[in-house]
Amino acid sequence: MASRRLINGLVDGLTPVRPRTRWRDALLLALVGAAELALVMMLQPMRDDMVSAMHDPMFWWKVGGSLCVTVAGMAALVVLLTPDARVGAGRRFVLGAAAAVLIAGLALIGGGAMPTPRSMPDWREGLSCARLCFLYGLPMLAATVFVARRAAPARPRAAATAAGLAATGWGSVVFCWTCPYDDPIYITLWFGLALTAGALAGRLLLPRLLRW
Amino acid sequence: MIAAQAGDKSAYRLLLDELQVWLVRYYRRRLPPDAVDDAVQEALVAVHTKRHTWDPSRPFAPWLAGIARYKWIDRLRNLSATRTEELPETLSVGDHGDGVLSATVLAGLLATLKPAQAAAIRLVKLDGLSIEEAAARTGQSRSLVKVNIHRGLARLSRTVEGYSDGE
Repeated sequence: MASRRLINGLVDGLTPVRPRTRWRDALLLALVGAAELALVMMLQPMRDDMVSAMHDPMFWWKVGGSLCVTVAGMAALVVLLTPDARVGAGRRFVLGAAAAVLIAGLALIGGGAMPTPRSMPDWREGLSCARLCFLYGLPMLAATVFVARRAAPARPRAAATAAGLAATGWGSVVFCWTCPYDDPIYITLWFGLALTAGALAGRLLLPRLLRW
Repeated sequence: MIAAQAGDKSAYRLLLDELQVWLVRYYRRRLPPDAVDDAVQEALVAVHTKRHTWDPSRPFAPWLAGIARYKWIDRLRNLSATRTEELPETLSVGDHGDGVLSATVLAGLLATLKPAQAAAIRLVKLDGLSIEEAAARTGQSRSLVKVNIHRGLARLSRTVEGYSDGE
């Protein structure tokens, strides 16, 4: 009887809806990311040696690796936003991206393009870089939460992890333009720390926001 | 569902009626009988509020099963949070009123003694310490602890007798 009344109420309240598409969500996230990058490039000074850095394969490995993780995180998130999503689908994207970044790094080492590790900057500097990667990711994090709340993630923890990873990944991409360090160990350590922290923070803090 | 997404109410009613039958069957196999109705209604509301998340180019059944499963897990979580258990026979305990009253009266009586006497009585007679332990704890000699207990108890007796006479 109660279900009958509920069905009547739901039917009465029916309005046309535009079906969600993954591409539209991805486009929205891409627009937010592009807007943030443009804003930071306008307001923040780039690194002093940007001209020479752009001829350094290590710089592009840093940018490309961060971008790769971002795209993987976003792809995993967008896939996980439907009730019929499987966790394995998102995991495949992230593992694929991690493998791609590592293989690219090894190829650069094999080709002699990877610089030998220099003297490591102070750990406080590294921690500051990791923190900035995380902070630059916050606008993207807000966008992912907005997109996710409008959808129906049936695996909130997996979606939250993907959101944290995508957001911090994008924060790293943005930060690459101001970060003066290209040392492979430095990048792997501190950017890796930021990405891990972002994914963990997403997994721990976001699921309650994504429940429906 | 495609018609429902476009706003067709009669198609939507037909869909919800069929979904209700399927959901009742689904939850009867997975939940206690008294939780089935609530779960069905929650799932129907979820189908309604999230109907835009179904992509018409993808199959409908896995989408619906995903919602049903999500709401099932949600309900299980709620059930475990509000689980009801039969109360054990031994749950009831005696009235603590007398004990509390005695403790209050005793504290009042001890307060009428000198601190050294009250401490000696509390440690030896109430907490069950030996004379040696009480002496070590209070810094008094063993003989002084004994004297303080003796004098303190005598004074308590007089005080209690005074109360009795007064009543």
